[in-house]
Amino acid sequence: MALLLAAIVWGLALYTGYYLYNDSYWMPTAISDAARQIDSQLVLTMAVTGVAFFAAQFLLGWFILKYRDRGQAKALYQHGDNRIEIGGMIIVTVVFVAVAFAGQKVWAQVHLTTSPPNAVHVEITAEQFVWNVRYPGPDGAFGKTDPKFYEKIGNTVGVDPSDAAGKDDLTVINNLAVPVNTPVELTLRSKDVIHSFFMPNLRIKQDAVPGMAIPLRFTANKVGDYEVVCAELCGLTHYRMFAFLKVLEPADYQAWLQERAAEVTQ
Amino acid sequence: MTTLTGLGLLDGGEGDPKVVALPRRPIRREPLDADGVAMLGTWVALAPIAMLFLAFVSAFIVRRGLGEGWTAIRLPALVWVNTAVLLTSSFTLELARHASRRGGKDAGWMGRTLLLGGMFLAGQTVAWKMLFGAGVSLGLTPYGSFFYLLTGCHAVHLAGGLLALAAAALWPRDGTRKLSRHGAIRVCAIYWHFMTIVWVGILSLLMIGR
Amino acid sequence: MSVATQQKPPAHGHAPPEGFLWKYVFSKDHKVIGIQYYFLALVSVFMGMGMSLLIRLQLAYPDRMWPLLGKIFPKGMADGVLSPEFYLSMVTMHGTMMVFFVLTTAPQGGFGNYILPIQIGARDMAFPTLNMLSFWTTFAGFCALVAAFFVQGGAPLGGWTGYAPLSALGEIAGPGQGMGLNLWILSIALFCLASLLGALNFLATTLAMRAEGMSLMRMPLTVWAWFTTAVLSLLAFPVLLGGGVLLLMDRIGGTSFFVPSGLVVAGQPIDHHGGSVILWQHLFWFFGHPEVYIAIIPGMGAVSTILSTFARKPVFGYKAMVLAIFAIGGLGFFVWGHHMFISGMSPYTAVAFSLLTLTIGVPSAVKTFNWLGTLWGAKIRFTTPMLFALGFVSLFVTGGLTGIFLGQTSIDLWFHDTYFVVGHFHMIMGVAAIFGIFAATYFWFPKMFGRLMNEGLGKIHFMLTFIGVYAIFVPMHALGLAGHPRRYYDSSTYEYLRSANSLHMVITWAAFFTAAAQLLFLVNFFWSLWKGKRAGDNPWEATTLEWSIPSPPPFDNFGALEPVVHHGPFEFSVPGAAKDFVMQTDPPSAATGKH
Repeated sequence: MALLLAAIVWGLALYTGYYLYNDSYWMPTAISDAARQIDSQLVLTMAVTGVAFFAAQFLLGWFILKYRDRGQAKALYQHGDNRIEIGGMIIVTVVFVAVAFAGQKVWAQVHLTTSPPNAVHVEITAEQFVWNVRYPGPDGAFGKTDPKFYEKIGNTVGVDPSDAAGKDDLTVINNLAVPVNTPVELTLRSKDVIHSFFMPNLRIKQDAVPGMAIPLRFTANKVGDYEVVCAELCGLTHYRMFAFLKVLEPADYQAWLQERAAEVTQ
Repeated sequence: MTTLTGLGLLDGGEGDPKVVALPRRPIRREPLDADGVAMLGTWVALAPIAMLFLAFVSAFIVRRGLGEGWTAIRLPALVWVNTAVLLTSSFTLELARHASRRGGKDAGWMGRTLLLGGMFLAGQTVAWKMLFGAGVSLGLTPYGSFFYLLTGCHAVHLAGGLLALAAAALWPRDGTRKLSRHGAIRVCAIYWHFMTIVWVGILSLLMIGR
Repeated sequence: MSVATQQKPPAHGHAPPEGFLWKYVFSKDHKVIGIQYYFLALVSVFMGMGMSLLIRLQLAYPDRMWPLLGKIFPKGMADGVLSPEFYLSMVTMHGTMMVFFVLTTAPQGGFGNYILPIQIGARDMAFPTLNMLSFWTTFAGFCALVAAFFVQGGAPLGGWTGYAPLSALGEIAGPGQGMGLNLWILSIALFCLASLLGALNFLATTLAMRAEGMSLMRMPLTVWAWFTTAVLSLLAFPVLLGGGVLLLMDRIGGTSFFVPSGLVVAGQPIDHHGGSVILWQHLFWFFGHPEVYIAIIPGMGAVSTILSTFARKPVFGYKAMVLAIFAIGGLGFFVWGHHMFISGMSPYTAVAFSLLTLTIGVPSAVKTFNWLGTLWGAKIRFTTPMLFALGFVSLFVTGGLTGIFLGQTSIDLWFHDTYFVVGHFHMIMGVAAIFGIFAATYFWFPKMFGRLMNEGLGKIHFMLTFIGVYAIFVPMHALGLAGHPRRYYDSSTYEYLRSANSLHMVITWAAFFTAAAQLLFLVNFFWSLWKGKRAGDNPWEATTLEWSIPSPPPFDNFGALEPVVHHGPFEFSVPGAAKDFVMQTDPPSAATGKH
């Protein structure tokens, strides 16, 4: 029994290692520096927890094997060892504190900084089950909004028609285009319930909360088309509330904006 | 029947006749008697009640911090009268408790406390009716919502306290119950005074948070 | 060695109850109440497991039809296809039922009620009537929850976390969000009340009713665990109750605690003003985080006891274990924000919560060291309870370590609301805590029912389950690494999840396999109730007080006399003692070791 159990414990540890370290299941292509740093922090955490994991499971299996009842009269009579206790605690504390601090770095970049003046600002207003993506237009300013101006077609975000800043606002559905290598600041809002804008290739997500406007910052460094999904249960078709992130060369980005604006006026 | 024996639900360990002989001492007085245990339980029970009100208070503070549409409502003057009634009831309950200490005559003070407690609850009901009549619905303003929430939750707890007071007032003096009459009154007093303090806290919050 | 021969009637003379109703239904006997809680949890776990199998069926075979199931669930599976609302209601009710009616019921309400008074040498809990009321209130909550399936609109679909405003808006937000959700709130409110009544009993009993010689530092770790869990319950459940009241008021009272202004849902403007959406999350998780410790701490206590018993060794670092339980319980109140990093709360607050969260790893690591330390130099007997206790250690390590990923804000940006979270909490709650319950069941079954469970069947049950749960939940972490979001009815349309979707099959097959293995447990349990070999007082040669009385115990536990404690709880392999264990009630001369 001891041998069988130890083998199972070790086998399951290896099985766990296989699934977690098998990068065929890992994240899609990283398309920003922040994403790459998150990946590094992930790998670091994997390494640290991996050491703890394999050490603990190894010891468990080994003790099961070594200290099985072999017919001796008694076991070791010992109530503990304060030195081991305190020593272990210190090591664990140091490691966990180090990991904890390291784990704040990218968060600080994403959330504790402000966007530079050349940042592209885009507003995302989520609703069941669609992402409304609003660009401020050439004037760089967003028009004020109010729910009373909502229109199912043509004004899904409720831009106030009397606000001059809103005249050149452009709203698209489910498509977010951004220029490559340019800081972007998204502002997330919601019309009804909590949604969450999750861009896997950028590794970041942010809840879109009714009654709040929450910023999310990134700089994409690879041109391409990427999937965006909803990451907060928002109702029946939560699972189909997706969007597309298009990272484009600056010239293509401008062209894209103009094409979308033209579609609206048609 | 055998099944139920096997399930250990019939008294007596008839399943196993061999009882290990243990060196035991005979019964001795336990450190805490029934009165003591009841008091301990009552003190401990104050913690979850406090947490419930604290949850509501923190919601109040958060909502007030958001500002939008806060609009305080004017509380009927009756609320202050009710407050005086409640404070007095704590006072009369204290007198009852003192009187019951040496098995003395506490019935009068208990009766007065019950009356005052009932008056408080009746007065609160009238105050709510007045506010509803003036158009202050549950959701009219958030301040109003919190008013109903806090005073309503307090009233529910106090009503429970009133029932306990009634039971204590009717408690036998002859020791036929494990808990003594004095113990029953003390337990009620702990709870009742706590609810008075909570009431003062609620009123203070409603005043400061206008 | 003088044996007292005086037979005095007990100071608190309570004669055993008469009549079926008072003996078995509205019993005030903590042992009967414990068994009632346990059976409630048993029914709940099989219901919850059934729901999880439906969930898994949908995830592995999203395009398939199940005509037979379509006949059983005509509304939710019309034409044999699982609808999204049925799926989400399964997700919601599975979570609610398991967290409340299994993980918070069996370890504390079940075993805690049954064993704690005996382990401290008491005749019953401090407030037996309250205890009876707390079980029946729990049962009422269970009925309210199950009723949600049968009302118009069906069961709610907002997840067990019921985030506002989705949960505050009523039916307009989706089916099941009408009466079904009201019943869900009622069920949880009743559960909160019941838990508070129960916790009161645990606290008062532990503090006031210990036998002579049972000092605090001689209490078994199980008692410390139940005690701490009771403290956590007293402070956490009222906040959930408060949140539930506020939610109900928003839904039916026209208030706006959680609903902000300007909402338009499905084209309809909503008449609410100025509420705070995140407030619900704060209130919920202020309860929700201590809740997960409420679910696991009793298991940790049972495992410490069981490991020590079958290792024939004292627990390594008893005092540190007690302090670790306090630390985990205490710190548990300050970390709730780690469920909310992405919620829109202040990013500075998020950092604070993150740093605090990672400190909980320290007492958890201490406990793990000490479990391993208990095995070091041991003389291990591989009984079924021991197997489950050892399995617990393995699972606690795996489940606990993945918490280190989730506790870091930067990494949670990726993992929040993915299957990594689902894998993590299932590993630690849905498996480790369950293994604690299994270990406790196999361990105390002989005491509770006077019969032994079948060891052979038990060992097979363990092997299949241990392998099965790893097979189910490890791949789930891989799904999370791939970025697969939670609560998705169907993920087959996403390109980036293409490779990950094959994992759904693995998980589903493993789930069915493991569920089937539980039949072994059921068969063993019920067969042994009727036909198991008779157990003596102390079949495991354990040391704590419950093993010094008959199996099953008499009505008042210790008979007419009261036990006196002379030793610590885990005096195994004491040098110089006659046997390799010294019971707590053995005379002082029986051991020349410490305590």
